[in-house]
Amino acid sequence: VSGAAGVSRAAAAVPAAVVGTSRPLGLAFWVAVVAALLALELVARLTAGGLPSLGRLVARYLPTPVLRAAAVAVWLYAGWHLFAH
Amino acid sequence: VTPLLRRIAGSAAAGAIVLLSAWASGWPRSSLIAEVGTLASAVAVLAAGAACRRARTAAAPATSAQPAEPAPGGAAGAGERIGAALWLAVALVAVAWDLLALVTPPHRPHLTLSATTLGYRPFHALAFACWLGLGLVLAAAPVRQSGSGRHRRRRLPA
Repeated sequence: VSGAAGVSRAAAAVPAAVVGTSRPLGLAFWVAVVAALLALELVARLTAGGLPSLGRLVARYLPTPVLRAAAVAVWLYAGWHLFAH
Repeated sequence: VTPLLRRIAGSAAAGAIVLLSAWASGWPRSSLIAEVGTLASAVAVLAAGAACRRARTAAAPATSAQPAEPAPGGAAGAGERIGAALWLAVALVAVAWDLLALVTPPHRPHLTLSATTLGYRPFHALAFACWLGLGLVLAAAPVRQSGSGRHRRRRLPA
């Protein structure tokens, strides 16, 4: 039983070892993600062709009303989870 | 819709999103103001995006010599596929991090997006603004109308 508990503890420690446990590190990661997404959008808008903007990707890969409604539902749930509840 | 008018509307929308996000970052989670405010912001953004899409569609015949957007759902070029892969890579890294942060042991800080927005108010405002921007894009991007799809276009003579 103690062996199983040890394995379980080790498995639980893996995610923490990968992403770390320092709150400033988490903030830095998420700011970097937002910066990367904004940079992609900016480059797409400033350069014609090549890199697609987010709007172009949405039009390309979510072209039908059903797919678009599903994406909006996911977006609404994410906002509700992150900011309201 | 003239380009100048479009630019003014875009700047006004961006300013409104920044102000709203700064205000929203002070809403306590699970409070009435947070729930009503988040829902109202979502509805407003979707309505603004839909209005933008309608205006662009109405103006399309007059300015269709150089279309800014491709036909919705049309075939993607190699450059566009590489660009899409870049977007996808950033999104996948973020999702992987969030899932790993979610399953960290209970006694350790969880570095999820949700926990980070709770812990840092400026980041909450930034994330809220990005969320509203994404909603605007989802509502404003052109939608393929029924009967105007790829298969129908293929039957048309070249």
